[in-house]
Amino acid sequence: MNRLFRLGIPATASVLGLVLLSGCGGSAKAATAAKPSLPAAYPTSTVYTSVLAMEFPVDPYEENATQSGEVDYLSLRLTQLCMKDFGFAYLPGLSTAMIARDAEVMDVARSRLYGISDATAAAAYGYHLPSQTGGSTGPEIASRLPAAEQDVLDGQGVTTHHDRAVPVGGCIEQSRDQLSQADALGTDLQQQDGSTDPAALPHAIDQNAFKDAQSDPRVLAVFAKWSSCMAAFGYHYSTPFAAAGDSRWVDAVGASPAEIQAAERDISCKLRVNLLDVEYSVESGYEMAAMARNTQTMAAAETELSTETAALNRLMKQYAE
Amino acid sequence: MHLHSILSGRRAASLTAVLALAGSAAVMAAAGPASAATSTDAKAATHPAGIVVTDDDQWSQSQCSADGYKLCLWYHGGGQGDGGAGFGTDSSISNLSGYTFFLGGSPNNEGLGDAVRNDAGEISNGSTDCVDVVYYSPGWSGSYDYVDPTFGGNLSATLNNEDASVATC
Repeated sequence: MNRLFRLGIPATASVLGLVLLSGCGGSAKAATAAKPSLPAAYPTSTVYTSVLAMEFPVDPYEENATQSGEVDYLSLRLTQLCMKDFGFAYLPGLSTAMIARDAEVMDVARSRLYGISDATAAAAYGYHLPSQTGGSTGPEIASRLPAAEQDVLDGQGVTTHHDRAVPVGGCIEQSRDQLSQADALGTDLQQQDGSTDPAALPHAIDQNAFKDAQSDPRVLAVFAKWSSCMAAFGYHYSTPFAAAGDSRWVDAVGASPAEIQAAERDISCKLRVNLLDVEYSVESGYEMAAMARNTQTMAAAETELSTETAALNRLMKQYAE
Repeated sequence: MHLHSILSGRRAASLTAVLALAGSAAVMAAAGPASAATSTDAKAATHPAGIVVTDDDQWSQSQCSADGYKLCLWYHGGGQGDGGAGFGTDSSISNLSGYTFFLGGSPNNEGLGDAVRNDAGEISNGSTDCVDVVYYSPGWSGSYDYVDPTFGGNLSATLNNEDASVATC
């Protein structure tokens, strides 16, 4: 998952603290190879009723929702401008509104990290997803564009269009190059060996922490409490994920009253047994342990994110409309 | 995981041919779970290179779009090359159990006919305006990766071969 909120621990302070704790750096591979055993739970001063309010230790090192949306927007906007030079009105409905729309999608995903947790959504959709707005930026699938437009878009099979040179890889490739050269694609790039880009480490840490937490005895204990709570309502699930994956719900086109009732009771039980708090504190503990083993790489990731942030701000001022 | 990769094209076929193939693929997808590959040889010939690599950490993709889908999962996760066989959908799927890779792709249609759930290594977004999400657990829950419109990339280590449900617009 990509956690998208940057509240909580100031990145610089946390890195310095971790340096003092560990005294050494590490690599992305080290983060994935070493599995800590029951790291201390991360202290919380908040009783969480929503995953969206959680501030994970690694959050300050990853793109936030707005930045993610800005990358999406700028990619399409630069492509649009390139296509305009060739006389095509590509994505005529494109607007900065898509940034907020992307953030909404990410919020929905994040809210389901420990199974459903959004009470408002559960009341309307049960275990189903709220419908994602597709936007109105143009053809939903690029291959449905007219052939000449698609040729310029992806640069395949053409070198010129009306005597104008088509960029190698088309306008899409050109826009990517522009973003890359401006250092706006600095974080979360997936490396072939998973280790060469420091910016990939925070994401590896948060995903490994999530995975480790799900088999941690502290989390399993709270799952058991949640199961007992659900059993009192007549539902028999071992984990919140099993509830979300119940074939009665997932095979249905939409949410029935029975599904909505189950979903609401699911969230009620989570809150009753403090499942969200336990998940958060245990998972965060794994994150902290991994960060402490990789202080140098985390510092590099922080630097990359800072560079990307500055680049996005600059490009948004230059190109957004 | 935010997968920054950008759609590019390797449309060796004409648009007409691509759309014809997309149509046949759509019919297969509409069959739902256990969808079978029936025209994969033709498709593999049309898209011999599968997912196109552009540099060390990203690669362009066009096959999902060319096949007419908003979201595709691919059998392989190597990234620096081809994704083998693929699976495409135009809608969210809460449980990938029962679905199979039905889109041909190099190398050698590897993974063709295999179950999609817990066996995908890549995701690509064939849409221009949807964010695609792949989840660790059925019912769109648990850890997740997402991919922007026209991007594609390896699933992260946690989601690699641990794909259970997908969401698109």
